[in-house]
Amino acid sequence: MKNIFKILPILLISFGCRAQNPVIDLKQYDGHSIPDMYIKDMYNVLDPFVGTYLYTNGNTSLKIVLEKRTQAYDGYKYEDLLVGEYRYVENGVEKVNTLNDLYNWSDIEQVHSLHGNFPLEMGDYLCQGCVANEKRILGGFVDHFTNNHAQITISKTTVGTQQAINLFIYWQSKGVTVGTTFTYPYIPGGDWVLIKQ
Amino acid sequence: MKNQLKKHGTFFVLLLTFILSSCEKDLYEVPLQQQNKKFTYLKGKEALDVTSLLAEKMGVSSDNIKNRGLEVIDYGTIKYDVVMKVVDSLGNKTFTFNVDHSQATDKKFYNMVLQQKIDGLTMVKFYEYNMTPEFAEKYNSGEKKIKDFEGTYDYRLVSYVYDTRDGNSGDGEYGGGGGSGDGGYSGGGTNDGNTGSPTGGTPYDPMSGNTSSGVGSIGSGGGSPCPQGGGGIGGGSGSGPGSGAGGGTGSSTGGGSGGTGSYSSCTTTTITVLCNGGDNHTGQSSCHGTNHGYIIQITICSGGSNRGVNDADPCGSGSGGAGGNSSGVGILEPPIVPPTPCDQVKKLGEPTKNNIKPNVDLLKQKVNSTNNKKEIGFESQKNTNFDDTISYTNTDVSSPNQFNISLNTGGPYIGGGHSHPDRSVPMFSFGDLKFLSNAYNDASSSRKEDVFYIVVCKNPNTGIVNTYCIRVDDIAILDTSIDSVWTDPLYASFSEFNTDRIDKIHFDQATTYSKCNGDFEKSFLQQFSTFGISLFEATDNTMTKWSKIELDANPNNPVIKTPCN
Repeated sequence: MKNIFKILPILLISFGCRAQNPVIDLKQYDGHSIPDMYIKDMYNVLDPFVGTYLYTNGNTSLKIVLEKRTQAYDGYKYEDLLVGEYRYVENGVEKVNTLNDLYNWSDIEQVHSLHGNFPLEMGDYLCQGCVANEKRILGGFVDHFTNNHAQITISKTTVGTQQAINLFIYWQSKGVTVGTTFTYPYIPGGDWVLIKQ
Repeated sequence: MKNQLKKHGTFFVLLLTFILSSCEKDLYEVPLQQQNKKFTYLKGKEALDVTSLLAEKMGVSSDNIKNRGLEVIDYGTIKYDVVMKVVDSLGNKTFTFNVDHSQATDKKFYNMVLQQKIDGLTMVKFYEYNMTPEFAEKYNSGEKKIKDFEGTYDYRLVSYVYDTRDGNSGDGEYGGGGGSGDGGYSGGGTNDGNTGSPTGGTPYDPMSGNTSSGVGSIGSGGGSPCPQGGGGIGGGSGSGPGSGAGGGTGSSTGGGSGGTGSYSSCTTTTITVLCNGGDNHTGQSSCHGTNHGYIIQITICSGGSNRGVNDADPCGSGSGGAGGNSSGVGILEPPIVPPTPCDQVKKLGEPTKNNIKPNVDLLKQKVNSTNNKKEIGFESQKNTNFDDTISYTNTDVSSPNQFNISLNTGGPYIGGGHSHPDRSVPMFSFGDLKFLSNAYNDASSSRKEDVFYIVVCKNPNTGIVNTYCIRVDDIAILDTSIDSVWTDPLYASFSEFNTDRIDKIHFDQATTYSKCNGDFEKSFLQQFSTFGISLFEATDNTMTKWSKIELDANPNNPVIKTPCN
């Protein structure tokens, strides 16, 4: 009993310190971090995007699987985020398939091929065309095979009666030293509409 | 007495005629090094001595000679760390001083010039040189030297000092031959001494040669054959009034002890010509400051055994010279003024320079199109042609299928530009700064000052298409700043060898921009104004008019936009 009284204050102080780590909503994040902060999806805005999505056009297809990860630690801070991997077939030829990486992943969650958690809404400069109460997710897309990266926005949409997402991919230009080979990413940029499976 | 007055009066009229004719002639002087002239650079004591002489001729106290130079009100600081000396084949000398002047720019510089003619006339002139923009650019980039000067110049007269005692003081470059001559019998005089040896002279001393009546160089062998007397190699010859002094230093062989000749009388007249709505001498419309007239000071000596210029001189003037142009005025090159970032950005649109307008117009078309979903760009090269001229070429860069583009760095490349698609940040990114750094570091030394990077984007809030340019002010700061972001522990878990890290940095940057309430310029500067770069915005479609954008000291105020004039 005596020991409990000795240990209890230490435990309370420990929990107290832990509690001091700031927890902010996804929307509050402004690009500046402090160690061990937690960027939390307080309003579950990421959940509606979770799922498997497919684009098909003849022999060309793009399949994307999006999952939500919580308290994913990147070595500096914690965050909830969407992560995704993909399979791209062009004219009947599979160009790239990273779907297994979604479940066999040894790196931090933040470096999956697709990742993002910043909610955009009407009035945000990157949310052109957004309507009231609409949420889009700002994120990134890294092609680890060709070392290209893109800014992406994911928005909910419908095709007929089917749920879908609109994935906008904006590949960012690169500077290369004269004589160095530059390789295009596998997936073309622009707007992709993928139907939920 | 009457005869003397008549003689002096006639001489005075002749003298004024000479001065005025000299003025006219000087207006057409060519202030460049010419043939038949020797030019050297004086430093240390020699330079200081001739600076003292300049002060004297300007009527300025030598107390005004400070460490930095001779300080004269309205003229600035006349520097004497290096003084250029030009001697023409007649022995006329010109000393050129650099001037620290408040109105000097990268295209304009000033020289103070002290001219000593063998006939006793000393003039001080203040030269203003205006380089052509093309020459200024090449000079300041080290591509051209001042000897290739292109532009205009003007000068104003500071003083005329005519003193017959200064005339032909044997001041040829080789100083006349009196030194080792056989000496004279007595100083001065037309019959003094025996013929000196022209090889006996010593290199000219700028002080003693002119102000000490030609000790050691005057009238060498003034006695009989005149041509050998003062001639020496450099001219100067026997026309000067100090011809008698040669004997004084020629005692080594002849034992002459003639000493310095004397005049029976000297008259000094000083006339101050004030500036009256324009420079009286050069005809310039401006007086260049307060009371910038000039001074004429004339000293005429007669009698005694010395000769003035109008005395009957069996040797005549200039007998030792080999001809040539007496008008050589050296130009002392100004310090190189590197072009400012504003200067560099203004030339981007000039058709004869970078000429990026057609390429930027294409980016604008893309940004204004309804299908603006990918970047396009252009890359710029600076080429040195076979004839050493410089040319710029810009190549449009695009990609198929909404892919991205790559822009080259290194070799002849000096940067370029790119567009931003809809739904992207309408401003430079961290990656753009990295590109600028790479472009600068990969560029050859003669291209670094040309490096630039442009982005064309549409502000979604205003619908206005903007063209921005970034340039390097300090590459060390830029590299250090980029490195501090790149190595931030925040990103330590993101691989730097693929694009994970830059992707993460860009994501954070996008969220930062999202909080800027549409003021992307301010947000960019808040993030990167300490990165050793400058941000410019094109203010018209020609790409020749730009404003520099900076943060206000008060963080609550909007950014400051200063036009590049």
